[in-house]
Amino acid sequence: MSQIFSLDFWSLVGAVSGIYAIFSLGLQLQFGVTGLLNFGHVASMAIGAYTMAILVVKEHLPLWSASLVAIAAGMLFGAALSLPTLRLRTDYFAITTIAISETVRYFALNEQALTGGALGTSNLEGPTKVTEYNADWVSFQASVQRWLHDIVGRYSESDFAMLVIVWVIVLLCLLVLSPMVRSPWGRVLRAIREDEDAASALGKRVAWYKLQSLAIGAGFGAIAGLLYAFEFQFFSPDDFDPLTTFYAWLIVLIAGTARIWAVPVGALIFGLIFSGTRFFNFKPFTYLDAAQLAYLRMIIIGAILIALMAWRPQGIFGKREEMVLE
Amino acid sequence: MTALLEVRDVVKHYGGIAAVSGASLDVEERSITGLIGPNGAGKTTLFNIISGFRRAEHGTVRFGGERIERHSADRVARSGLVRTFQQTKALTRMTVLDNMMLAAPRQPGEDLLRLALSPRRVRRREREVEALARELLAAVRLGGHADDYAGTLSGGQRKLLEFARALMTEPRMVMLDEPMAGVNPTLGLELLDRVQELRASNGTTFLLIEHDLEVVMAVSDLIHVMSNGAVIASGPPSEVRSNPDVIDAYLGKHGESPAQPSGVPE
Repeated sequence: MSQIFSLDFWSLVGAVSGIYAIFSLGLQLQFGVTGLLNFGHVASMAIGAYTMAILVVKEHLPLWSASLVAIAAGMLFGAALSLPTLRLRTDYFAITTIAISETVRYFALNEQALTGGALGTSNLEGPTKVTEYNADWVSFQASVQRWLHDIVGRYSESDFAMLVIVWVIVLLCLLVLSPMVRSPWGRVLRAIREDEDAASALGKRVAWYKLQSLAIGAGFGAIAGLLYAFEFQFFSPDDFDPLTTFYAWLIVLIAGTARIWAVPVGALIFGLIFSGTRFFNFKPFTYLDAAQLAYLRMIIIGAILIALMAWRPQGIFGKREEMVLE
Repeated sequence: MTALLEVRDVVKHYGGIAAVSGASLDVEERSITGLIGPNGAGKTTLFNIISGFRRAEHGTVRFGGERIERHSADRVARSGLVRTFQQTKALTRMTVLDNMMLAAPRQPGEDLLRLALSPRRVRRREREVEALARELLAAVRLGGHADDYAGTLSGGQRKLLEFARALMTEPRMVMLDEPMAGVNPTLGLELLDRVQELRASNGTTFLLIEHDLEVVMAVSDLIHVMSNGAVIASGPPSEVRSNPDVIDAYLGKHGESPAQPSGVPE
């Protein structure tokens, strides 16, 4: 029960929520704004995290340049994802994306020499040598922590520093994405969401805009993947299963589609639900063991999604009248 | 003088059935040209081929002298040949004004690089475009709906929006697919006045599919009649009206009534 009052614990919840917020902003652009049903968003996260870790460990690149390459790799992957959109629309595209993201995960699982396989990043240089990619990040985080110490004093724990870093990045992402979506560029994306034939009949290069939307969305996914890797200092292919994609979907649906500033709020609500179940240490939940509690969490999240669809399909910040338009 | 739009021997099958079988027609610059024919004659398919939404298996389409039959729909639109749809495509979860502003060409803000580098030019163009959009909306009596979602408009209002939206692209030629279907008759006639006005003031060319034959006859300089995927007659309204092939096409070969095609029910 003491966790409930632990700054470290809530810093962790807040930081992870922030990472999910960035991840979901990518999906918000792709789905909420452009109407692309991307069920494989997690792949961009995996590509971002793995590209960085491999470049740092195997090519000895500095963390920052490896991270930039990782974001570029994520965006390139997103751009490639636009190829199937040329021929496949809506649900067919969705099926393809989930297959692609699983392909990425299975590749990471089986291409041991490159990724460390199922053992994850600690196995990047083989089982005899435990490897880490985040030495530079740890020292950066420590310097942020020292700097914060001058401002907030003793509250400046390591997790708190991560929380601040993540949410500064969330804010930067919002400040970049929000004006983009409100611009004439964003207007073209929304037109594609509504009716891509109408957009092409008005002279818009639909395929090119879909490519941009997918690439930029995947760029956000890659940034989230980097922060995820830094936060947990280790990851394996299992971190990038399809469930992660659907957490982002849940966040976007909670927030309301196409509402950029609502995404972090959706992510915080998601984070609270997700971590809140661990405080179910009173009857009748005490009859459940830890694994069962974890499943209970899934059930609760599923129930919330159903309730949301039934009573507030537009999400918390969405507009109801938009849902009834045909 | 060569025509602005030249369609030659276009063929298109859907699953073994010939929707268009060797259709040819010309549309002169600055003309208002009607395209009529019974349901299933292939008019909309021909529109889809000309506008780049479908590929013909055979035949050529020239616009302003340039071959366009293999161009994508967006490229055809950018070259100044813009169409509307029989089933309107209002962008429902966008405002009426956004629908209009989207259509305007030369908005640097549609390019991310230029959006970031020259925000002032983007804003200036937005102001120009908005003024033009509001003016055109007022002309089709949608001025009061500028800030409503397009999805709240009625079927007839959507037709008018789509017409006005097509004009926002600064087209050289507009192809209208049943622009008056579902539009109240008074507004429909205003729409046609607008078509004639634009031809006079901007030299815009119009190709018009319309089932109300009285209207087409009244407004068109020249009429092409399609039947079974081919153009079976072309000429001024008065000529087409009395052409026995046209009467046959509408009534069937053994139509008993010698009535004018304009009297034929839909």
